[in-house]
This record gives sequence, C-alpha cells and structure tokens, in this order.
Amino acid sequence: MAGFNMLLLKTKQGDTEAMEILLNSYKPLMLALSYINGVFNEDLYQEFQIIFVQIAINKNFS
Amino acid sequence: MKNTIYRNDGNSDDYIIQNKFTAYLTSALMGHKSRYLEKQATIDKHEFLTAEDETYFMGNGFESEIEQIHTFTDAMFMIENNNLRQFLTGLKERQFKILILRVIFELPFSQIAFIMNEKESKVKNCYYYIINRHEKEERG
Repeated sequence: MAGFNMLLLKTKQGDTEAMEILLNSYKPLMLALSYINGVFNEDLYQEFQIIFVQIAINKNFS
Repeated sequence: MKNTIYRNDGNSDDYIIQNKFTAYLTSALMGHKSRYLEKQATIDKHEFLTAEDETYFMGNGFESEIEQIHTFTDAMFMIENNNLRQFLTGLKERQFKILILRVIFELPFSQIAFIMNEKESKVKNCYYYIINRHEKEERG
C-alpha cells in the first residue's frame, strides 16, 4: 500500500481512489465524533467528510 | 499506511506528516462539532412549542393532518417508480407517519415528537433510519 504522503499528494492531484483510501482510514475517527448524546448525527458526519476533503486538498503538511 | 486507530512511532517522514494531518483534522472536526452544537442549540431554542401550538395540535388541526396521511397512503398506488412504491409500502405505519410529517408537512422534529407522543431523539433516529435504508436499497 502507498504511503500516507503519496496518498495525500495523489488526492491533491484529483485522484479519487487515493481520496477514498484516505477517507476510509479516517472513517472511524469521523464516526466517533459524529455521535451527539449517544445518537448518531448523519448531518454532522457529512459535514465532517466535507471538512476532511477540504483539508486534504487545500492544506499543505510537508 | 497504518490506519488511524493504530498509533505510529513518528520515526519516518511519512508518519510525521500523517500525525500532523491527524492532529489538524481532529482539532478542525472538534471545533466544527462545537460550532454545530451551538447552532443546533439556537435553532432548538426558537423551535419550542408555545401554548398556542399545543392547543393547535390538541385540536382539529392535528386530526386533519392525520387524515391527510391516510390520503397519502391511498395516493401511493399512483407512484410510478416501482422501487420507491415498494419501499414505502414496506414501511411500518409509525415510520410512514414520521416520514410524511417530516417530508410533506416539513414539521420540525419537536412537533413530530409531540404528535407521535414519543421522544424527539427516537423520532430523529427513526427518520434517519428510513432515509439510510432507502439510500442503501437504491444503491442495491
């Protein structure tokens, strides 16, 4: 499997497959944060995914 | 690449970048969650039932809406999309009522909970369960 940095670079270049792998690896974190008072909040989860995509594409970590 | 549920030792450049990314993402998500909760709290504050609302729902207005739900049940046979018709007919009466009150009447969850005599969280869960199930069935 490709390294994290490579996946991030590919994501910035518009590779949807790389984006999917990254999204899936952070899915548990986003799911865990999407619970409010023990109830899963679908809207919040979707907003988290949007934030994830924005950070993965726009932010530079190297 | 290690999944985020496993900690890495941060020895390689790859791990350092991944740790930076995870830290940034986590703080961004937490910040967004607190803003989301604040927003929801202000919405809920303006959504509470007044005494007038209560008398409206206790009186004729509420009954007429339930009557309209029955007319929607009859109208389901006219839906041309087979999958959607099968999905709607497969729903329990309670689930169907919640779906209609939310989608057609566009009532807030607090009012639906009042009409159905249930907790608001239960109504929310039921609604999102129906939506998720429909999405899954559409995807096949």
